[in-house]
Amino acid sequence: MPSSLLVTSLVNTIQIGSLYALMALGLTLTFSVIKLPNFAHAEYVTAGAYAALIISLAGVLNPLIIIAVAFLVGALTAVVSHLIVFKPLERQNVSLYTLILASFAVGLIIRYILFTIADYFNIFDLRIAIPLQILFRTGSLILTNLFAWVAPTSIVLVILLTLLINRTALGREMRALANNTILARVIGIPVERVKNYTWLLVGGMAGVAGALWGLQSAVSPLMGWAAIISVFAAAILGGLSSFPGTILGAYVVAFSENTIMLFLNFSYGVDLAYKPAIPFIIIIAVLLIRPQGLTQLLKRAGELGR
Amino acid sequence: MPLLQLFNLRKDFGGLRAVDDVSLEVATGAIVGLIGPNGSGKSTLLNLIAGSAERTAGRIIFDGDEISGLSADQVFQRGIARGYQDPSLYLKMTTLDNALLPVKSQRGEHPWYAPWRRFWQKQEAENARAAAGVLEQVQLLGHYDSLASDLSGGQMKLLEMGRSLMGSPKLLLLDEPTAGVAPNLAYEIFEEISRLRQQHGITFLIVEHRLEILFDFVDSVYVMHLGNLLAHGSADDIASNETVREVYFGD
Repeated sequence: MPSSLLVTSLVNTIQIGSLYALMALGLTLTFSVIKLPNFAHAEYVTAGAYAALIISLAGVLNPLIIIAVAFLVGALTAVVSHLIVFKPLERQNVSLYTLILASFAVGLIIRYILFTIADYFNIFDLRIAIPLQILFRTGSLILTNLFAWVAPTSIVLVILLTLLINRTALGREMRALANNTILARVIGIPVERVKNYTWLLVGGMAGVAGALWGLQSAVSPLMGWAAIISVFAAAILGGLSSFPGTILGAYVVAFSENTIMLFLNFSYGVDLAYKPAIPFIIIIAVLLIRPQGLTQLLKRAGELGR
Repeated sequence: MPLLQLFNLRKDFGGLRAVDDVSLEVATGAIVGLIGPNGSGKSTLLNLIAGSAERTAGRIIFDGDEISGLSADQVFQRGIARGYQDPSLYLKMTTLDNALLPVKSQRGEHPWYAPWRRFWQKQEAENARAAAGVLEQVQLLGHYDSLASDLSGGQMKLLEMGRSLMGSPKLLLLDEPTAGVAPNLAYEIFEEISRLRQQHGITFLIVEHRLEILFDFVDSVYVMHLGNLLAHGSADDIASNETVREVYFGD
């Protein structure tokens, strides 16, 4: 396989992997703090992407404002779905299966609300059109300002979230909830408030991921749903409980989907259409061979953090 | 006025009545013992007071306010902390983290303050100093950065007690604070309890099976049997009470 192609695919791995990390960390947080494998997570991504697209079409082209609006809309969607659906269900002590099904339902509802909005304004498959500049070019590799926004923003947010979990009072309480919710209540942690804040952060991060995703490819009502299996694969590689494991998992999935897929295509003629199968293979392999994910390989990895 | 009053408190588990119309009082600043054979409902009673179990009927008055029906974290915020027979700590977190968890209204709890260090740094440092003071009191300061899972059984008990103190409680509910602790350390734990009462004016309601130690420290003792209150009196009264001897010691 030619080296120029290899470099391009590695650049893609970094870009896509960073986005996966941003989304998968939210999934890991919801799973450990809220105890919910949330399939509606995909739709917070899409909601953020559409919010970003709509204000960019309205003429706002400053990427920072676009990202901030996407954060707010993603956070709002997540908090509202918590308050209207997940919190009342939790209060009735329903089973995990009910919650998972409810998360599918919430996802469907949000997705088709977005379809309706997209249909009304006729905004399908558009890219968030911030002006494109070429920053760096050598041979076949072209780095634009999009790369300069997508990967660094994701990486900075991932680092901020990790610091928040490990260094702040909120993070300490989230780690406690992840470990034992009942004990958290007994020792006076304001459990409901910490859960609300968790939803806010999770939704906000997903929204930002959506906006960044929309910078590099087209926004459609199905974009979050299309990515969710890869994101779940990344979170499952992290054992759904560890931050470093999830981040590592995100890059492993992105590497498999881009570099390894391209290598298989070049060396063995495997059709690129098999790409969507990769996350499924990863999920099944992890669940069969290492259900605890990569967590145990990382030294001193507790619940979340570290 | 008593700090804690229970009126006809009742708890049913299906057909089983674990706590049957119990009424009792704990005076402010007192150390009160709660004894009884296994399965007599003592731990359930503590759970009801702490809000971690829901009562079937009855009322709980704490510090002049009705607290029946509040959730466990709300009860904690009112000033009641609960200790467990098996130390319930966050084993994968450090000793210092465990002590910092119950601190009320921390600024770093809010997502819009948390990313800006200068908003909460000062308060966090104050909290850490307070936690260091508490850890020193329970002789764990040297272990502040160890994971809780690396502590010994006795140290875990002490850390649990230290963590309760971080919420500045008025009432501590302790469930067998000396269970699984070496005899000489068991006496030290009760001396620590007595010192906390004197220094901080904390009131204690203690479930304990080691009566020979308990009776040296308590102001009064309640005896439970099959969910009912059987007797109430000073340690001497209870020790010489025929009915109590019969159900408790079987002689």
